[in-house]
Amino acid sequence: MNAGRVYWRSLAALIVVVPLALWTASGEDYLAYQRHRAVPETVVAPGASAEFGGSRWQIDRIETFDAPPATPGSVIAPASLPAGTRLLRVRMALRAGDIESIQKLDRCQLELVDRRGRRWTAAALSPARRDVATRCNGSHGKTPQIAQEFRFEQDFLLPADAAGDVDAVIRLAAENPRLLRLQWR
Amino acid sequence: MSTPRRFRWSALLASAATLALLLAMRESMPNYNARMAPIVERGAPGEYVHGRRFAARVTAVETARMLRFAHSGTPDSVEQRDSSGVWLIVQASAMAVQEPTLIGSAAILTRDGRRYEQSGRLYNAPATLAARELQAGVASAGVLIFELPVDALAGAWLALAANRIDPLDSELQIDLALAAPPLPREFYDLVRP
Repeated sequence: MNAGRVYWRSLAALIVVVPLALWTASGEDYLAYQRHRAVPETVVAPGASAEFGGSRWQIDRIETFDAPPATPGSVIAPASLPAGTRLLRVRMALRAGDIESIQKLDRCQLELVDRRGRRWTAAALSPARRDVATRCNGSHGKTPQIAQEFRFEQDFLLPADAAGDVDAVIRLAAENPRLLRLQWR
Repeated sequence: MSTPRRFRWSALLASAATLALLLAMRESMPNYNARMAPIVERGAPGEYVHGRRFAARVTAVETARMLRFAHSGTPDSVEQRDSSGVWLIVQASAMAVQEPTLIGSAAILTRDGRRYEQSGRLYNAPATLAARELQAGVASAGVLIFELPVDALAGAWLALAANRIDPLDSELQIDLALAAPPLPREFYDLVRP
């Protein structure tokens, strides 16, 4: 067999052997990495509701402010917002199906995400509010009840460029890693 | 006869070159510490330095012999702390890049390789910038407070990281421009800076 033919056959074999070697060495790790990265999220269209963790969830209202809104019942004047930011007051509505789904609300988090994948958690900007529940599992005597609509509100501080382009995300520890993404617009 | 002789010399040279290359590769291979070290992003004061999880900017640096602070939640209970060295107060702002994060590690790196973590002597003091949750794209301003010998100030850098125990991540190193350290003022007031 002449040298030229051996050379080209060896080169062709490399095309098969190298990826095979890489897969043998790291294929399992790569699959594990992909499994770890994948976020099983349920996406809900704007205005619609969805079942998650035994409760039915919906965005009730999102208001945008460029100055801190006054807190009903508080005499403390709210400080101004940092430059280039907006305050989003998100009101969620949920209806728990049974006692188990109410228990799941104890470890629950509402977040906002934008299309660039940025994520925000609620900010403690205004004085503690008593006029409305401020957590998924209730506050100040306002708690979710089976089969009754329950609303809670949280404030978020976002850069102005993200304020009109966010979805609400619900995380329940009992449902990890699954999450519910409710589109706003 | 001359052709095989040249061939042997060239083979020997090629082998020597290969061996030299292998040795160079072996010598230049990073050791364990270098492989596990943080990925350093350096910057100057006044400019945002960007890491994987957050960006930070040093806005001012001050030194003082004494600190005055109010207890968190009880503004009437004011305390003072002196120092056998000097208090270094770094005013900075920071913002998360993608998702909420904390500045998990803030330290001063000195010219001679020493590292000073944030002071733990200010019990009940209001939260420093390192204790605040940073949000994506929203600048949060605050102070970072260190206690160090006066001779360690010159040439000091600020090192910030999201996590002290996860070194395979960005570490922001910001020059504090202290080539000639400022004369410490008598006291710095954290109650009314």
